[in-house]
Amino acid sequence: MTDASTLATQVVFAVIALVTIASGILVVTRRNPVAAIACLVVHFVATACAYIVLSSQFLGAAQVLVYAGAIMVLFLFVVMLLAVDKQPDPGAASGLGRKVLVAACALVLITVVGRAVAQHSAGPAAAGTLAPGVEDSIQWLAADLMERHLVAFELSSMVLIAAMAGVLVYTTRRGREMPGGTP
Amino acid sequence: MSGLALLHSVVPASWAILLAVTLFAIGACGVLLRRNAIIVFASIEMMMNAANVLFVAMADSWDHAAGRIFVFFVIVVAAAEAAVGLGIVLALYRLHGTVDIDRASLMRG
Repeated sequence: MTDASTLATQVVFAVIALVTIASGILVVTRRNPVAAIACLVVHFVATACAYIVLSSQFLGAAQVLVYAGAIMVLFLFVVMLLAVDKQPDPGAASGLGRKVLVAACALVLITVVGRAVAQHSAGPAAAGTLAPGVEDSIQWLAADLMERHLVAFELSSMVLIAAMAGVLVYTTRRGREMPGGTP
Repeated sequence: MSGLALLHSVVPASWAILLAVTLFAIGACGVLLRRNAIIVFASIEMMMNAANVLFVAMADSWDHAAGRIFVFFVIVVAAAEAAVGLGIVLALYRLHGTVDIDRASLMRG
């Protein structure tokens, strides 16, 4: 690997680390629970990016699916169900700083996506193929998971079923209404 | 272990360790400082995530699969834990009408 690409990877990791830490601090400091959970989504997506830079591509994808997808939906669902946010969010949704931030984010997104599209259309890869390093990494993980750790893998499905059944048992008690008035 | 050198990234392990420790510290601060049960729970998820970052960093640094396998199972358990934990938050709200964990100081309802 050349020095330039090494440096680029390290810069990318540093940026991802800063985003992860900043969104983590925002999760802890926001007063509004919905805003905190939104920052948590950013935090988990940034962590998934860190996994990918650290050459664990499959775990990055699993992180986005499970954490940023399923678990965050659960969090938001509970926040909305409990109607925790009774007081309005003061002094937001306007201001020059926010507009500049939004514009910068949009610019970065467009640049990154545009670059990716340009690179992809320049050298057409066969459909369904991955870079050699990625393919090796996923094959290696899958072989290890399905051979050496097959019993643990199957047991983990039982853990999920047991957790789901348990939650159903203790959250659906009959004859009790929530004191907040929400169903 | 031929061919595994391909998987090794160029990020220094110390950076990733520093990131993981910082995230764990932020999560611990959240658990200690906040009183909203949902935010405390989110902070616990962040601490779990910090441990995952450390596992991935070490798996990358030592070219060993065990760290990645661990992270896979931690993600599975985290999904179950999130469902159970948020169910507990719901049950807490039903009992006390609040998610302030300082108000939920009794072991028995």
